[in-house]
Amino acid sequence: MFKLWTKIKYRRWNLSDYLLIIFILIFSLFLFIIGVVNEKDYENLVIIRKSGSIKKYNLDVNKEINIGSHLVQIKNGKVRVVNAKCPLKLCEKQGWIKDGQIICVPKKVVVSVYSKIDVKKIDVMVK
Amino acid sequence: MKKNQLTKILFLSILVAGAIILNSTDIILTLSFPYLQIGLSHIVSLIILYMYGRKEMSFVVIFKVLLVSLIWGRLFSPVFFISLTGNLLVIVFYLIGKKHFNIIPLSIGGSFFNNIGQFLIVYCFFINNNRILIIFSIMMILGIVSGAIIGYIAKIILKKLKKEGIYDLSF
Repeated sequence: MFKLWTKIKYRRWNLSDYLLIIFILIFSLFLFIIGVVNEKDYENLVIIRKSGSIKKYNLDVNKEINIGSHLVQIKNGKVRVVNAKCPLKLCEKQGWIKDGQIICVPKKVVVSVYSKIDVKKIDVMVK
Repeated sequence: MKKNQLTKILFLSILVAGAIILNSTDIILTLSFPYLQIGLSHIVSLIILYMYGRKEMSFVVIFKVLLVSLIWGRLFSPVFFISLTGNLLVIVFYLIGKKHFNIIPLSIGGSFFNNIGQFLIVYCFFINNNRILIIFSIMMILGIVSGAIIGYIAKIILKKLKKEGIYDLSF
């Protein structure tokens, strides 16, 4: 058993070692760029998720969407739930939102709103 | 049972215990710094890979994953499957890459493949969203740093063990 110990040898740094590190760096930078490019897709977008199904709508187009249990209204870059068939109607009481999410727990509905990026940067505007 | 075999089993079990404690330290660190899991337990798996061989290393890593998830009450939970796939990919990479790479690049590649395995499981089964790409790519770049640190520590420990002859356990 003790002879095993003498076998430990450290190889010197070869070309393959440098290539591995460079490959990892390039691969992760590539993934980062893909992620950043994809981030621009989440702009002016309304996503409605209901028990597995995902539907995407444009935030600029005024529209009323009926998804069975809820009636979602998109108007002037804002989104609200008009009519909900759930007991507490918390999603209805939340009102208009520009950015963020409306979630209905009993009917398993999530309405996500992604507005323009320059709207997100402003927290509060005082006039 | 031969004495050599007994010594080997005892030493391996001590190392598994060490791996469990290091992994638990990692988990405690992630409570305060999320996304920061250094992978301290892979010091032990690298030491075993260079001391004993491939078979022992894979046994120790799989036992470590099972026991740590049992201790933390995560057995067969999503976290368990994420860590299991990550560690399995690490084992595969260590087995293939020991011939071709130095110890520090080996550890860096291990951290990279750990992240790849976690990413695949998270993307396929839990969060099917392209936005997690950004966070995973940052984790992969930081993984190069932590992998280098882990490989360096393992190298130092292996050199010291060889020098001081701690292996001469006489029972």
